[in-house]
Amino acid sequence: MKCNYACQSSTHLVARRQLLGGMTALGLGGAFGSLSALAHPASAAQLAKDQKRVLVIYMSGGLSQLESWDPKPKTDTGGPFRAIPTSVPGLHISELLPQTATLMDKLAVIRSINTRNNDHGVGSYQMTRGRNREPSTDYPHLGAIAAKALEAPSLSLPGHIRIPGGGRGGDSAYLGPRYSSIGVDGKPPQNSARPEAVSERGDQRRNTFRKQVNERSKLKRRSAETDIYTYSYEQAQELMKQREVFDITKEPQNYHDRYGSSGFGQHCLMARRLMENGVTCVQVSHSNYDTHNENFNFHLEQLGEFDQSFSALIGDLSDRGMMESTLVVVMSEFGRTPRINQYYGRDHWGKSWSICLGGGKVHPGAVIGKTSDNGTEVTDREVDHGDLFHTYLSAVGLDSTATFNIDGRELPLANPTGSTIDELLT
Amino acid sequence: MTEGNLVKMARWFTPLLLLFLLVLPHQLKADNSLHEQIDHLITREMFGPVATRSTDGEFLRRLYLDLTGSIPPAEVTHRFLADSSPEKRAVLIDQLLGSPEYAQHMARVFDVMLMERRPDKHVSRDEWMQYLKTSFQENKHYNKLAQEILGADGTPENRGPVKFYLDRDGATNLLTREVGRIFFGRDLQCAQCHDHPNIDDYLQSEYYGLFAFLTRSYIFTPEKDKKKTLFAEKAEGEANFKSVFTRVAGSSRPRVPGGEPIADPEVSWDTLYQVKPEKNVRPIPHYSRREQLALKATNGDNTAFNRNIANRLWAHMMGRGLVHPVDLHHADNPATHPELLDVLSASLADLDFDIQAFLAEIALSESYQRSVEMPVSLKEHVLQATQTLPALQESLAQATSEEQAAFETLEPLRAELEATRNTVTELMGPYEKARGAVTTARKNADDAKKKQIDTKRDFQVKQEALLSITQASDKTAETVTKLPDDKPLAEVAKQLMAVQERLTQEVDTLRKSIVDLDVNVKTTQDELDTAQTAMLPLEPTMNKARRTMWAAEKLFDTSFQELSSRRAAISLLERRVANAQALVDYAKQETTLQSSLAAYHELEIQHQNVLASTPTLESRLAQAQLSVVAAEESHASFVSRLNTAQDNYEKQVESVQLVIDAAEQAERAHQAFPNDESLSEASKKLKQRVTKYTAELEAETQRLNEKQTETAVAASQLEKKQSALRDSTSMLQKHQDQLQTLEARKQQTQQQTDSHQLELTRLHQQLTDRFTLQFVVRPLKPLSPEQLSWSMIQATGLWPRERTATETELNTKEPLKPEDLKDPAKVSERADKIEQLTYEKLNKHVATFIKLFGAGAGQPQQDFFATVDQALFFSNSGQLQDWLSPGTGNLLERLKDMNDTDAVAREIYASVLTRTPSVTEVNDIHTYLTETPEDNRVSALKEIVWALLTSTEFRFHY
Repeated sequence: MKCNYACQSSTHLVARRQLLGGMTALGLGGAFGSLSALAHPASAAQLAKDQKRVLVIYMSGGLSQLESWDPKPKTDTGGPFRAIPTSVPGLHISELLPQTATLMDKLAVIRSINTRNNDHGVGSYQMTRGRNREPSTDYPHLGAIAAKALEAPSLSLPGHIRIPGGGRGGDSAYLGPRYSSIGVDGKPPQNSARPEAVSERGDQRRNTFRKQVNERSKLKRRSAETDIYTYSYEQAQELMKQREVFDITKEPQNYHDRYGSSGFGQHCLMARRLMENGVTCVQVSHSNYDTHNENFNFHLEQLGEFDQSFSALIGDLSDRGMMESTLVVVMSEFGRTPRINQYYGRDHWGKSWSICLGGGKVHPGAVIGKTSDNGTEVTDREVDHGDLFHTYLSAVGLDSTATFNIDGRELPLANPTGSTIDELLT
Repeated sequence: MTEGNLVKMARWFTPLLLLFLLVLPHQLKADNSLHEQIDHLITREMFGPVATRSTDGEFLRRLYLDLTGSIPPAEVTHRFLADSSPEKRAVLIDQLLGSPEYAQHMARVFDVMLMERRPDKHVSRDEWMQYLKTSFQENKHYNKLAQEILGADGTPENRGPVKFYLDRDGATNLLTREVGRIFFGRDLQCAQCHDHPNIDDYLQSEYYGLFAFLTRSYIFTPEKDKKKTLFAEKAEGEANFKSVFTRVAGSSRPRVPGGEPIADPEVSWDTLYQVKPEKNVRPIPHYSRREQLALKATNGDNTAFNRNIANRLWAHMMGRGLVHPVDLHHADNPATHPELLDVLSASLADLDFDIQAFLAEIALSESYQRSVEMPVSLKEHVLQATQTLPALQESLAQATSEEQAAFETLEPLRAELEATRNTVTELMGPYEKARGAVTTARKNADDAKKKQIDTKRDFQVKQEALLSITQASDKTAETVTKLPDDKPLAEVAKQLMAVQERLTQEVDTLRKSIVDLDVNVKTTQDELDTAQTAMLPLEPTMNKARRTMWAAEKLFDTSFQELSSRRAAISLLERRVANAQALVDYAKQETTLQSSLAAYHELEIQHQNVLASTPTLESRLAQAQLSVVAAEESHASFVSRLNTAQDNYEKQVESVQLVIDAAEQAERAHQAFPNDESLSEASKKLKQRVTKYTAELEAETQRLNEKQTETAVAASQLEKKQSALRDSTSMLQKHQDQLQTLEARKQQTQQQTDSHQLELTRLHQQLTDRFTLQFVVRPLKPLSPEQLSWSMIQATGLWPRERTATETELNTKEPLKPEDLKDPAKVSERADKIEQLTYEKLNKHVATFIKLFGAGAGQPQQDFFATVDQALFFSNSGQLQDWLSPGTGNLLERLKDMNDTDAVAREIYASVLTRTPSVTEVNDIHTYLTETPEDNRVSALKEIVWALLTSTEFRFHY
């Protein structure tokens, strides 16, 4: 609405020039688009050194906040489990997370989330995109935004990996498939091994010949796009050499013991290996917390698995000095009803629930917000998925109010109606 | 081009036309064919390089990819390259446009354009693709196609085209955006909640103008067949909006972008529907807004619609729209060649949207047939750019001030429009309420009237019945009195009596209720009158307010378009300035590089010169060294001679002294014995000896002196030579220092030259990209996922292999009977079936490519990206390995049995890259094959073909 202010205002002219600038950049720069998202532009070397990462642990189905981050023992809604003290004085979490409790001084909890939604699909979209679903536009996943905005200049591994999974995910929306997640199922990515019919020498020979064909070609013209194309083969060769990164059998036995032999444990171990090797965003999911029946037995079992692997992972990240550069978020599509139903279950609940996060700029040991005594409503510092999304981006040093310029369209990183939870960040 | 269009264009682009006329006289060649006009309008640019014509191989590959979606088979390449007919390009264009592959390919292209790889929902892929394919087979004109899609309701005769609406779930906002983007080239999404924040052209009212066509439509699921959902429409529903920024609200009449608002026809409330909406009944309105959209958009008069498709078809052929991105048509993003876009869209409309004819014209143009490489010399273009730049900059400054003026004219009109909108909105509440009251009152009155009529009819019927019954009853009663014993008769009389009584009561009730109903009719009629009376003054007020608003809208629109065209002029000038500047910058960089090269050359000469004196200096030094050695030797010999002389002298002195002593002794003895003759004799003799020896000593002394002098001379000689040596040494040292300095400077200059060269290369690439945007150099177009997969299938010869397999399978499963084999119809039907089945099989491979190489569902599909999983797929997947294994009639099978390396190279290059290989390329293949052992020949051939398939040249369409 700038034209309502005044045409002579600089906004008007800037907008037009920005647009044209964007178009020129596109015409000349090719497929990368331009990135205006870095809060502090830095040299490539500096970027490599300060490479920031995001790890999303997705508790699929809806983790109960009452059996995890916001226990309400001895109330009508509290269920059978106790709350235990943690390494942060005064902070108690559910006794189902004893090992995590000892690491809470490295993590933080947000207990005042209200997403006004009780639907799986909607909730998952809200939490991973930071927006409500709109029929007319699809928005990119947090991981795609991180992969683009925090992209390491010379990374041969894909920037956005999803475990478990397979193939390329459709989660990058307008950021383009380059930032879509690549699914791996506890194994190296598809097609990353040389086929038996091609010998190692043959593979080298044909690649050398491919380069020679490119050099000799009558087609002399080069563009950003041809460069990206030839570079993708270098990346492929590099990835084939780095297949071991995906091979967790290379980890010593005591690490396997610490992370546990469960699928989730193996996935956490792989996530750590990937992040150590520069992958910008890893999503790991743990299934399934949709406990309409037998909520307590299920949480006892599932969280036991989670607690072991998650605490091993946080321990490793912390020991390796990676916490400062890695944002870890444990999220779900929503929480679970304080009311316990007739099947000893809890149902979908988006009105007052919690997540746990840590690393990056997140204040270690922080607790944001409060719910009422029996957890049925938020009583302090209500936030929603939009605010959380801003907070994630800010926690890895991005300006969450910045925009991407995609084909001349200025697209905000996060929904402009939300805002960062400033007091959570250092 | 009609005169009307010219006038319109002239109004729109007056500033530009003036600029053109000032700089370069030209005329529009309206009589010439479209392809000539294209070339004229493209190359008329004031400056800038133009690429040469493509080679035959390039053209063949390009045209095949654009019109059939795949590279040509090797035999076509061989034939076309060998063909010497000058008409062969034009012939090929016609041939391909008429081919079945064209229809297949265009169906795929339009599927991607219209559906953007959204998942299938309500309408099956088969129905949709069949619809598109048939449309292109029949060469259905685009206006017809668009009309069918925009007007589709999903009934059996338009199941295919309704996919556009239904598979987007019929969501009005999504459809508004998508219809705007895909059919009008205007992505109005951000204008949903307010005027577009970055694009001045996109107003919220435009969004709602389009929205108004669609807001009455919704998905209807029939009870009978729930899978065959329909796109139904109601007769009511308005597009009201309110800006979340300014809070100004408005209500929009349906309006095609750039068109006039369309008023709904005045129809009375009971004639809104052909079929009224009821539960499980799809309503059909008398007046369909969606039908209006389909008609108004496609009637040839809507510029936005015409431009959008002309631009999209241009982009299809040329790799990029005149307006790019193709869905962002607005003043700040004008066409690279606005006049050309006008000509193209007008011509397309004149061709009645005949896509084939239009594509043929583009393909015939030189602009289409240009090479991807820039011409080598840019000198004259730089000169032109340098000369033009100041004038351009001046024009830009002027255009900017004109835009400012236009803006100042617009603003009061905008305020006025918003005020009138507010008035309408304020009136809207009471007006709608009163209108609602009238509708309700009318319904009540009508209901009352209907009930009154029905009751009266009932009353009449019953009264008549009563009358006859009464008569019958009376007569029966009479008869009974006459025949009192007839019991059955008495019974009948009794029954009749009862009926009569009941009817009488009913008639009485009805009579009474008629009185009530009459009152009710009167009351409801009164209420209706009251409501209508209340409505009476509101209607004209509202109409007046609306007319005022519409008038304000009109004024605003005119002024707004004026401003838009000014902004377009600025954007164009900015691009021109940037183009000229880029040429100038390039030339500057070239000069920098030249002077850097010259400096290097200068240094090189200096270096050579200095280097040339090295031998002299070195020999001089050697000489000096030799002289010093000689002087040293001579000095040494003098010293030794001096030493000898010294020794002799000293010996002589000793001898003299001894003789003197002896003489003195002898004299003393003689004095003592004066008479001793012998003593006297001895003394005398000794004296004589003294004299002699003294004389000899003198000579010796003199000799010594001489030697001393000589030695001193030799020493000074040596000193001189040594100094000369020192001089020579230091001269050489200085010389070497100089050389070192020069070498360092040379190296520095070399580095500078290298970086200047790099920068120049970068600028050249930029310049190429820049002039590619002007369509004077052909862009490098990445192959779409479909083009890529079908081209790989073509190159590796998978068609014949799969065809043979399919044929064998089919002939085994359902063999043709001997008599069928004699029936040409049956044989051709069988051939078609084999072709169709083969296509379906191959199409499954294509799906894999689309997953890897296609962009996300519902996202624009034109952007190029290359990811590691794609490269891994090409490198390691079993699929490509399998395609490369020798099998019936495929490329590897053909190559395997060729002995002549030249023939192998020619076949590979024709199959994969649609051209003949260069000598070097043939040699490379020869070397590759000779370096691998004979038993690995097939592997080597596979590796070679793989390398060509993964080359840049294959991946990009050039």
